Amino acid sequence: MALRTEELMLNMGPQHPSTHGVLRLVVTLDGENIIEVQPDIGYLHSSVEKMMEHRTYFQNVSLTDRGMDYLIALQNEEVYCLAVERLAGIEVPERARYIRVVMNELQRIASHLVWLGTWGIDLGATTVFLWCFREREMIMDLFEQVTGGRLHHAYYRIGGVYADLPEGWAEQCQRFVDYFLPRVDEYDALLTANPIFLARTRGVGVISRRDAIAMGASGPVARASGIALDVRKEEPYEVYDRMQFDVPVQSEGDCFARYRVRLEEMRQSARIIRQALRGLPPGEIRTRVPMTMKAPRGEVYVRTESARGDLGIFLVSDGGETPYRVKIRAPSFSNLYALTEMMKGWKVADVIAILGSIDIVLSDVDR
Amino acid sequence: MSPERIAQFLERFPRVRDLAAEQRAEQAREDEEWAAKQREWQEAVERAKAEGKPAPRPLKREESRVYHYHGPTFGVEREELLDVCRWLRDNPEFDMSYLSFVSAIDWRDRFEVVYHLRSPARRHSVVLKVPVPRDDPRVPSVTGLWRGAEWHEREAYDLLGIVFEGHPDLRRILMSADWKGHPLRKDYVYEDPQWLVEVASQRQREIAATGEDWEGRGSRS
Repeated sequence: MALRTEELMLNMGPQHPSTHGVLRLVVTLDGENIIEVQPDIGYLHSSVEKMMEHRTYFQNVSLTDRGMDYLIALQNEEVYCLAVERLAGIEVPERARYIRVVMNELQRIASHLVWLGTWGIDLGATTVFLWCFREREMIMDLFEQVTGGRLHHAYYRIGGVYADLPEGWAEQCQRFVDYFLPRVDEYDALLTANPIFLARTRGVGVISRRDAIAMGASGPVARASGIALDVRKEEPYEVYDRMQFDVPVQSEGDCFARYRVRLEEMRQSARIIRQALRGLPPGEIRTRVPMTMKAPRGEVYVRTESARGDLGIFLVSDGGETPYRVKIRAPSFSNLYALTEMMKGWKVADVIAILGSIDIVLSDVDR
Repeated sequence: MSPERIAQFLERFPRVRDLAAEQRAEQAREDEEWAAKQREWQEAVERAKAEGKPAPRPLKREESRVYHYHGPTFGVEREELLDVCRWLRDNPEFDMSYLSFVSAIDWRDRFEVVYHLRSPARRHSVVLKVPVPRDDPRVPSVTGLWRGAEWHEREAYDLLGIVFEGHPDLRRILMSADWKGHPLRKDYVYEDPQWLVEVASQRQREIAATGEDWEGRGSRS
């Protein structure tokens, strides 16, 4: 006699520790096998795009910290300021551009550390979480000295940055980089050869190069599938064209490849920070821009490489004091869509590993 | 995108408007008008000097009304959209295999649906803008060409109310399913969602019936 089987619907979230925020996954199961995953998003929707339409160009800088991805506040400010500067034709002084590069890369390392630590916990490795947050705390201290904030900085301004680096900060940052690079090797040693970690990540959650492009994946997720794309190389902004760094690419497209890409990215970011600090020119940190600036009529689309991928802002101005329309192209939004493809055919126990590996932040997905 | 490619594209689709070129032409016209005004003013100054009269007031250039595009931007009719998109994706010269986003702008008298296409291999990108009337905001869906458009189109439907015809699953994505209106429209007025109003009035009826104080803190004396 044949056994009767039926499909099972499993709701994960919206309140679940491993979804890294408020995300609901509707998982359709056949026994333990995943047939389909439908993410249900919008729980953290703050309509930041609408809010921006009612605030001046200057006020919006601090809005990008909160309304967009909260783990990479400085990179959000970067893309917003770049968009306004390009639209209004504002030149940023050399020193400010170097400072921005240093800050962006520190932010990338901090974000990757949060990802690695929390993903480690998801997979049952507690030590790596403690180690990562130990180093992240040092970056937070570095940020606090410069910007006064740990998560929400409001440090970039249209036309430059708010304040110069404090005395001795560059040396301190240099010391941190020297300290940090061997730590990356330690994470590597802790995880890369760990049989449990390998069993849970290698070959799991594969997305092909073709699918990754078609589904709009970007950043480390795309690079782990063999797409050698990095906006910092493709369309260099600030002074990335003067920096020497490699874009790590893996071809497997599985969770392990995404881990390898991010680990290498931390090393490359440290390399960029070193060069930017060495090249830091003296001079002005901010161009004078009137507080009630108006951007000329027009539209601009600016892309940057954030810790999660291709972060863009499409800014439309009708000549007024506030933006007419802001469209935030969030990398996590498209990467989360690619999840529906990655999950097919895996076991229910892999859901956590695969979801963690794409490094989503729900305030970036929902905006 | 190089000028040759743009020319090739426009040759294939003569109905497509090159908005960046139109902007340049408009800018040139405005500059010319300004130059003519300045010449006139200069002549007036010299005339006044010769006649011994006070010089006329210096001119002030008024704010430019030109709409600026940064990068190649094309206006496409919605009937032609799918053909244009398929051609841009499949032609190896253009190879636009990556769709960055789909969104829309509410211009009060019309909508403009915006597509940002990119070619990772050729390293160029293009913006397509499709004007649609406000009372009939329909465009064909491009989910058949780029799978990644699915969520972006759902978002544009949710927040701006653009209907993408042929979309496999067009429903709200960010707002709750029973939400009324489309928040990013310029004429949108926020109202408390209906379920919230119902919950609150139900609670008020209960309070009125039992004489219980708000938050259940003892009876109302």
